[in-house]
Amino acid sequence: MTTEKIKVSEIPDIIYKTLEALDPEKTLEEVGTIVQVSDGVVRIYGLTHAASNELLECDNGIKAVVMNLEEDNVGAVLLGPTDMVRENDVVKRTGRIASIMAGEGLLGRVINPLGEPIDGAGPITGTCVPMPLERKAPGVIFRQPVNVPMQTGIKAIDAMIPVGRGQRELIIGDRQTGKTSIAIDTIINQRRNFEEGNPVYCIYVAIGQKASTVASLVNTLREKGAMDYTIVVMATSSDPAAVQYFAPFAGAAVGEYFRDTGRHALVIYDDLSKQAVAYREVSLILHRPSGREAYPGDIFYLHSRLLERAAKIIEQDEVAAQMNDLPESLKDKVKGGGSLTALPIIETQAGDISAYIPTNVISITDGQIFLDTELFHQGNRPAINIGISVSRVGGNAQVKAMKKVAGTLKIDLAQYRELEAFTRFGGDMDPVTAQTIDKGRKNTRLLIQLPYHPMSTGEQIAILYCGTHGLLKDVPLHKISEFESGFLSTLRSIHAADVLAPLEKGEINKEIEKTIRETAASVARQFEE
Amino acid sequence: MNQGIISRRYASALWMYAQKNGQEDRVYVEVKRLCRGFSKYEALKRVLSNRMVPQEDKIEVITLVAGENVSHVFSNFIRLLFANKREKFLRIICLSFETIYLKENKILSANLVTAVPVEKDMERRFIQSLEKRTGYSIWLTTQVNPKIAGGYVIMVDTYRLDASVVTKLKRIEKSLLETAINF
Repeated sequence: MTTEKIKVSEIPDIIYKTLEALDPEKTLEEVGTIVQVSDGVVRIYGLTHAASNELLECDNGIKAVVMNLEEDNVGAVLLGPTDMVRENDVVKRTGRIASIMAGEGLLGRVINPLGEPIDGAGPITGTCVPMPLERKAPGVIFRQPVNVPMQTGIKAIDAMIPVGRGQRELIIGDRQTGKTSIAIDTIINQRRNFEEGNPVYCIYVAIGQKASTVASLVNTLREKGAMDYTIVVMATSSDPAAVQYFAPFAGAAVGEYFRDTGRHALVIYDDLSKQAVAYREVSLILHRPSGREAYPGDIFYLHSRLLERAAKIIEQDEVAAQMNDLPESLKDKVKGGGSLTALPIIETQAGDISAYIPTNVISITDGQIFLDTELFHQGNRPAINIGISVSRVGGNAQVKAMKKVAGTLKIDLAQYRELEAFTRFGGDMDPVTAQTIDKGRKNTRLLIQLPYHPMSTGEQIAILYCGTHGLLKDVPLHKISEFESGFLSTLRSIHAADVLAPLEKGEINKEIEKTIRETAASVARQFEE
Repeated sequence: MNQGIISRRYASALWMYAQKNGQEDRVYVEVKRLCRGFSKYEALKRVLSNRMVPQEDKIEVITLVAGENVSHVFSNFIRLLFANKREKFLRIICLSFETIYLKENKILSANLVTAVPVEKDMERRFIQSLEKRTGYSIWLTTQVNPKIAGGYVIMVDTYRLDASVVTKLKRIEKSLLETAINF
């Protein structure tokens, strides 16, 4: 009987792993010795076969990633506290490149760029697959044009700077202009997709921010029910520079997991200016030659290779399965039709968009949403400067009804701004000019939206129809927001099925237009002076 | 960026200079002692990088660590290094020189760590087995470390085979934790 006693080491998983470990190739470790420790960077003698981006491990468990391969030593960045590593410590190769374990179990969690949970809710459960942090973007034959909208729920964006799934749209502006709010609104707006069973998984990457700021943001997302489909990757300002540098890559790797398994994902990098600063720090300690503003020469490549990973994947599964650089663990799960949309954020200094990093990222992305401090202080929130904001590919993804209704909005607003500049000098106005200015003012007021209150597409189209078709001419300027809530509540209670539902799908016809006109007229009557 | 290239060039030059003077074995011993000094005394690096310490004092410290009567080859080399202001690369140069010396002489250095002392016969058999497998001469050093609990850790050149009981226990602990999470 004693021979039948089951030992702890006889659990099948452990037996299998022990068998695997018996392979001499795997038990023989290549090791090196740390000869220099600087802030977050170590120089290791030995490790002659180490590869670029390979994950190394110290005997105390601290991980490092190979950055510099030199003649007989390697430079590596530490992914843990520097004070736990000392000179003469032994470092071993792991044979793996730096990866993050990605899976559905990450949803609703706050993790660090190594994939470890930091929200105190226990270990990550469920099946996870290793996704490399650095991976080549899909080639041209595995992509398809952006043609599905990514609704942000913000009227000004969805109407004039539409974003499509697979697009990279930069959010740029000074500090305290509402950049993060736009990103958070977009995440909250995906709740509807989640409820309809067609979720857009959101990944919010916080780089170099205060932990308290991220905590309150996670709280907001939780209150709005957005954490069900959201993952927060966090590298706070107190984390080592290398961890901050890797954070967006970790976010992209998690996003790619959803993208390559045929789902839709949205990744927000908040913000890439701080990542660039972290990368500069690492590069300077590694003695890499510095260029403009002391950034290393490959700072452009840093951002371009990250943002290029946002893509809309081709629908055909068999073509998608041939995708370049697919991780081995993902090969049997690949499906076509997925997408990864990126919303990188850049913080400018005193509105200077011609600085080094902003110009780089502007040229990489498919458009930018520029936020203006002046507009913000005037109360036009979101403070989007329509004049210099653009979406290069999103137009193809806009729903037809929105395109029809809001097509002239951008030009109307541009005309209004030009005419308004002249009226500042005083003098009489002809009726046409006065009407254009009145319409412009009301449209501008109509685009004001509270933070964390995204609006459905149907409602956006209906209210913008009123603005662009002059249905607000009898409503006083200060009553616009009241008109808006009255109009929308009427539509929701009486015309949800015959107006809002078709508009949501992008359909518009004469009958719907007639109903909108009638409803607007009846609501406007309450506000006539 | 060029730390590796610079140190490798100086190490190669030292090797050629030592070879020409027929002092490679002696220089190797001195370099080895200096390497050990760098590992043992953290202050040595600080002294070398301190601008307040006069150059002559730095050379004296290095000579002292490398052995009191160093060869003229080693002494000249150290003076050249200081003249070229490359003393901060000294440690990597020493490591590179060691690598070159061992490679040129077809030697592999090995280190065997055990929890209890190893018998001489066992050591001999171990060396023979390694020499047969690699075709290189083996320079074996042994070390007793009760912390590994049992088994052994063998390091040959830059490869390590960790068959210690403590590592096996750690692996089992990790596997159990992973299994528990997947349940």
